Amino acid sequence: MSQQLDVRLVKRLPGFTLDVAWSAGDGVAALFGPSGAGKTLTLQCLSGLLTPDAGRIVVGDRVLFDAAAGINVPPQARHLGYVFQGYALFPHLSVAANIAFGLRGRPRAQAARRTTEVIERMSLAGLEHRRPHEISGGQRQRVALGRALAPDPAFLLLDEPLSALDVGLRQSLREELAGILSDWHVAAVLVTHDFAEAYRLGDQIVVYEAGQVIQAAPRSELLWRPASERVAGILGIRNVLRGSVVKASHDRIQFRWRGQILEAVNSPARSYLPEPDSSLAFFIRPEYVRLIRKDRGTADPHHMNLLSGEIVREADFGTTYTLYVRLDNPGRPAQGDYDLEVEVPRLVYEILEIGRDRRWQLSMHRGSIQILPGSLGAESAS
Amino acid sequence: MALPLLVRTARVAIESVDQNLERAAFTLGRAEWRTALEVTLPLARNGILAGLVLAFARALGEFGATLMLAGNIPGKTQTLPLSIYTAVQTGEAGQALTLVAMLTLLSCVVVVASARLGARAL
Repeated sequence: MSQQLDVRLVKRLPGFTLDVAWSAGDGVAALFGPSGAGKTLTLQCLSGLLTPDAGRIVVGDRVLFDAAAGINVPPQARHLGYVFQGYALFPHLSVAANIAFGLRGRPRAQAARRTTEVIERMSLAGLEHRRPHEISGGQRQRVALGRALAPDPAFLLLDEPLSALDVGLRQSLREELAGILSDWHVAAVLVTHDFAEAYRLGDQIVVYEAGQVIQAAPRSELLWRPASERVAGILGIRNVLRGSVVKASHDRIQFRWRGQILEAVNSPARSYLPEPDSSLAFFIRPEYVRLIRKDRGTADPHHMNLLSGEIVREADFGTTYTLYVRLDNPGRPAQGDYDLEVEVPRLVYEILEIGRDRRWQLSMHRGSIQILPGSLGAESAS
Repeated sequence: MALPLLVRTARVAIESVDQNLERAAFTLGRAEWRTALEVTLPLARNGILAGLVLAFARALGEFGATLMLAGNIPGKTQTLPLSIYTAVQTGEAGQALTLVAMLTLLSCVVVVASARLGARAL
């Protein structure tokens, strides 16, 4: 059953104000952002564990909270499943009793049937009588999900479900969680500060920073077209650079960077047409900067936005190398002692003998250069 | 004299129950008083019992306040230390020694019991 969740809320705490508005429909909405950005606070307001100072929370046609109308449905009656950080399983109850906990008030036979069904679907059969401390981390996650899902909630709220785990277990539980979420067709709101997690589990990603939403978008749009430099910064995008506009049309933007004119694809959907000479932020992912092979000449039509420079440093990440390249162009390098980060797979590094050869020509495809609109006013004001 | 000891220990035990467990119960439809009965009190049980045992031990050793307020009536308000005191005063050293042994043994039992309950509460 798909329902729309509309959230608009303000919560003031000493030294911190949460002021957000977003919507979620089918699938999983991931609230992503650094710790202390207000994500968990939002979840607690949604569940009714905390009361916002202002705003409105609506699930489908049920108003859960409306400050203006004086509506504040208690957590007991919101029918939202909450999966806590660390799971918060009842340590004194068995697996079966944990799962059945939210079924109180239903006819006994129906509750028992539902409990058995959930235990089966969560592959917990045989563990019914164990206590939470007697089962594995993966099983605990399934009990927590089962307990929240058993009463058939309208939305599932997940608070950093994987953050307390070791890296290895974390990945396998992330995949298991993804499987359960799609298998149960339950709409969910997931809080995480790990972008890989947000991207893997979220259909839509809501980016939080300092109590505000700075972008809400489908996950691929967020990754490839972040709305601003701030969002790019929070996503940890590298090679975020600034140039000045030469000419902008609906499908192309030409701009000057490090004394050279570069061309990028403009997005018609955004119809971003900055004035000539205005400042422009853009980024190119390190793995999209190409090294031009010296043995093949430069006649390749895919090569454009040509630059040349020298590798000043490199970092070995095992399967990939990150090269820090300083361009030959005069003037201060854009990022400290280098201009561009370039990422190459180890195999390429070895074939091209990059360890020996430090001077390279680079090309950046116009489709790989991403323009970051919307950040310029804010940046120049600060 | 023993009551504050019980109240304090019980309070610590109740407060040390993970709040998220209570919140989880709320989101699963339990009213606050039901949550207290089904989640908080069962989880704080050992701590409360430890408090009871300590309070009992404290009451066992009561001397000054009992003497002043309740008097020293054998079989009614006479505590162990009071009867030891009386036995010593009346020169019945044998009885006094027996009572001392009893009190020592009881104290040991109480210390062991409260330590065990406390350990399990963690």
